[in-house]
Amino acid sequence: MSEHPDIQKLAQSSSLIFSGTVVELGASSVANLPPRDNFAVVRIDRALRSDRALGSLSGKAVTVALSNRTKLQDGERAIFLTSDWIQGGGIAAHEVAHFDLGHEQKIASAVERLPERHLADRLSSSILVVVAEVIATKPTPFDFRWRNAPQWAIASFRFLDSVRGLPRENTTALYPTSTRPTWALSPRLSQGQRGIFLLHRPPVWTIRMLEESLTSEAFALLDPADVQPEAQRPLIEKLLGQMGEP
Amino acid sequence: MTVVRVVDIIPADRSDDTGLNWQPSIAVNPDNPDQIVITSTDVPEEANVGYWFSLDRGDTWQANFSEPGNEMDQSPALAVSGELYWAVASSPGAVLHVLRSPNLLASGPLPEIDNPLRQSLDQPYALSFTQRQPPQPDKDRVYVGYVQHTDDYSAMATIDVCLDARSVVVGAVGAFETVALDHRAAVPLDGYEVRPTVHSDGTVYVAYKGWLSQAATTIRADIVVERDDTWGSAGFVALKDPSDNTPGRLVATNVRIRDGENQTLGGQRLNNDLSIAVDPSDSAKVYLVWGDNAGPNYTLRVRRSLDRGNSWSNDLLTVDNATLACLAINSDGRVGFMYQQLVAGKWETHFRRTTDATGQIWDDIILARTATAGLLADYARVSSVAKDFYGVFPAWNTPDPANFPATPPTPTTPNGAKFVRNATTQPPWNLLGSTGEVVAESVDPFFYIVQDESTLAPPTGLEATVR
Repeated sequence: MSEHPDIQKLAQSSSLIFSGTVVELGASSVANLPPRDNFAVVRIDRALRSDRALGSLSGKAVTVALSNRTKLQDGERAIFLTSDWIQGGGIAAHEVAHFDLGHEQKIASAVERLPERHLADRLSSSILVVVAEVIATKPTPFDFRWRNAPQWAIASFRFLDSVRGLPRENTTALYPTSTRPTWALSPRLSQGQRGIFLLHRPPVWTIRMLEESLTSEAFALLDPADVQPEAQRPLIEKLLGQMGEP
Repeated sequence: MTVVRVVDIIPADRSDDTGLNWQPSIAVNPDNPDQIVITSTDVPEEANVGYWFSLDRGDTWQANFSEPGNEMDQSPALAVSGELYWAVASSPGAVLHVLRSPNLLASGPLPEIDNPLRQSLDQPYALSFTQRQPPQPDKDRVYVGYVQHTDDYSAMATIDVCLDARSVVVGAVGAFETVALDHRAAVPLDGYEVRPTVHSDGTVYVAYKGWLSQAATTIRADIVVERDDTWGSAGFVALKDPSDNTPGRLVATNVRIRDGENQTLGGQRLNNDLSIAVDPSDSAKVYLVWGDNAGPNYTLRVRRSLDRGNSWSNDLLTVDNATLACLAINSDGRVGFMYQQLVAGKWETHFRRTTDATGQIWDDIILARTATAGLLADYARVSSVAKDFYGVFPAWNTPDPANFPATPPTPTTPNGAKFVRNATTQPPWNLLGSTGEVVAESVDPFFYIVQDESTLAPPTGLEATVR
C-alpha cells in the first residue's frame, strides 16, 4: 500500500482512478505490449475517474505498470491511481499510487472535489473576483497571423460587488470567441449575463497584439471555471478563506 | 489494379469518443510500413497528449496518450529505425517540443531534442529522412517547418534542421539549427504552412507563402520555394529568383487568397493548402500545390518544376472549392494528390494520381463523401513508401457504407471503410459505445492506403477493395 498522505494531489494528477482486483502479476492484457515484471493485469471493479471516451470500464482489464511490484499479490483488491498510457487493443496505465480498499471513499471524495480544487487554483491565480453584469461585448479585429488565435472579444461590466480586489470602473475582460478546439472550453460572454468573474492577467502576447483595441485595464477569462454562477459565492468565499483571504 | 483501404482509426476501447479528432498528420516507417503514426488534435482536457499508432499497416490502431501537456498542433516523422520524431506545439504559449522515442509504445514524458524551446509558433510540420552511410551509423535528418511569431508583429517562415537527430544527447543545446527562410521582408508576414520535402541526394526543398498584405478578407501572397543541396546545412539559399537574385524562387506572385472571419468553404477556413513533394527518383522534379482566389472560386493549383525549382510549369491540374491539399510522389515518379472538395453540400475526399509523365492526366478515387458538420482541419497529409501511398484525412464519422465510394462493403467491412471503433454493421448506421448504446457522431481521422498493382498483397486480414 502506498503511504503518500496527499490523496487530493494524487487524484489530481491521475487520469484513471479505479478500484480493482489483481488478476495476474507480470502479465499484459494489451496488444503489442509484452509482459514485464512490474506489470499487473487488474480487473476494474469500479471506475472513479476516467477519460469519457473509454465509456464504461466495469469488468474490463487494465494492465498497470506498477511503480513497485512487490507490494501487490494475485487476487488482491486495491484502489489504483494511474495515468493514461495505451488505449486500443486493451488498456494500459502507469501507476501513480495504490491504496487499500479502506481508502475508497476518501479517494472517491477527492475525485468529487476535483472541480472544487480546480476552482481554488483559478481563484489563487486570479487578480480580481467580482460579481458583475456584462453590459457590452465587442469583437477585436480578426487576427490573421496565428491560425490558432483566440479571436478575442472584449466584455465590459457593471460591477455589483467585489469578492477579491477592487475593479476600476473601466475594467474589461478578454475572452476567446474562436471555435477551435484549443479554445472550445473557454467561457463565452453575452450582454446581460450575470455571474462571478475570476479575472486573470492576460498573456503578455495578447496585450501586445491588442494594444490598439484595449482602452482600459484589461483582464482575461480563459478557463471554464473563470465564470461562476452567483450561487457559488459561498463556496468561493470559503475557498478564498482557506487561502488566507477574509 | 489498385487496392484501396480506408480505416476509421479510433480504437474500440475509445468507442465513446465524441471529441473533435481533427488536424490529422501521418508518418510511415519507410523501411517497415507496418509502422504508422497518426496525430490529431482534440479538445484539451486534463488528459495527456498522445498519438495513434498501428503496427500492422493500418489494420488495427492503438493510442499512446502518455505525454504530459496540452497540444495545439502536432506532426510526426518516422525514421527507418522506427525512431519517432514528434513535433508538438503545446499550450499555453505555443511552445515547440520535438520529442524522440525509439518505441511507439514507450511512455512519456519523452526526451526533448530541440533545445532551447521555441515559443509563439504555428503549425509545426515534421519530416525525417534516414541517410544510410555504412559502415558508419545511419543518420536521421530531421526537419521541422513552422511560422515563428515575434514581438514586432512579424511571422517568419522558419525551419529547424538537425542532421543527426538520433544521436542528439538529451538536454544538449543547439542540436537543431534554426533557419529563417524569408529573405525579402524586413518584417515578414509569412503564411501558416512551411513545408519541407527531402530527397536521398541531400536536396531539400521548402515551400512557404510570403504574405504581402492582409486586408479584412483578403491575403496577398507570393508562393515561394527555397532549396538546400546539402541536407539543409547551407541555409536554403541555393535557389534564387531571377527577378531580385534573392534566395527563394517566386513560383507565383501576388496571389489573392480569401481569409479571415467567415471566409470559409463548408465551414472550413481557407488559405492553408500549400504542399510540396520531390520525386524520390529524381531530385530535379518537384511538384507544388496551393490554393487561391484568382478566379471566382477558391482553386487548388498543381504545378511542377523539372529543373530543381528554377522554372515552373503553368497549372497542371486545378480543382475548385477544395481544401486540405497534400502531395506525395512514389518511387515510380507517380504523384499522389489528396484534397477535400465541397460537392453538393458534402465533403468529397479525393485521392488522385498522375497517369503519365505529362503531369496533366490524373485518375480519381473518391475515398469518402461525408457531411460537412464540424471543423475538419487546417491540414491533412499523405506520404509514400515505395509505390504505395499512405494518408490520413478528417471526416464526419457516420459509419454508412454509402459514405465510402471507393471501398464498397464486404462481409468483413460492412461499413465500407473499416471502423475499428464499435459501430452497427447494418442500417441504421450508428456508432456504438462501450455498452452498445448509440454514440454521437463527430470527426475522426481516417487512414487510407492506395496500393499499386505491383505491391504485395496486404499483409493482414484487412479486407481490400480491388478497382
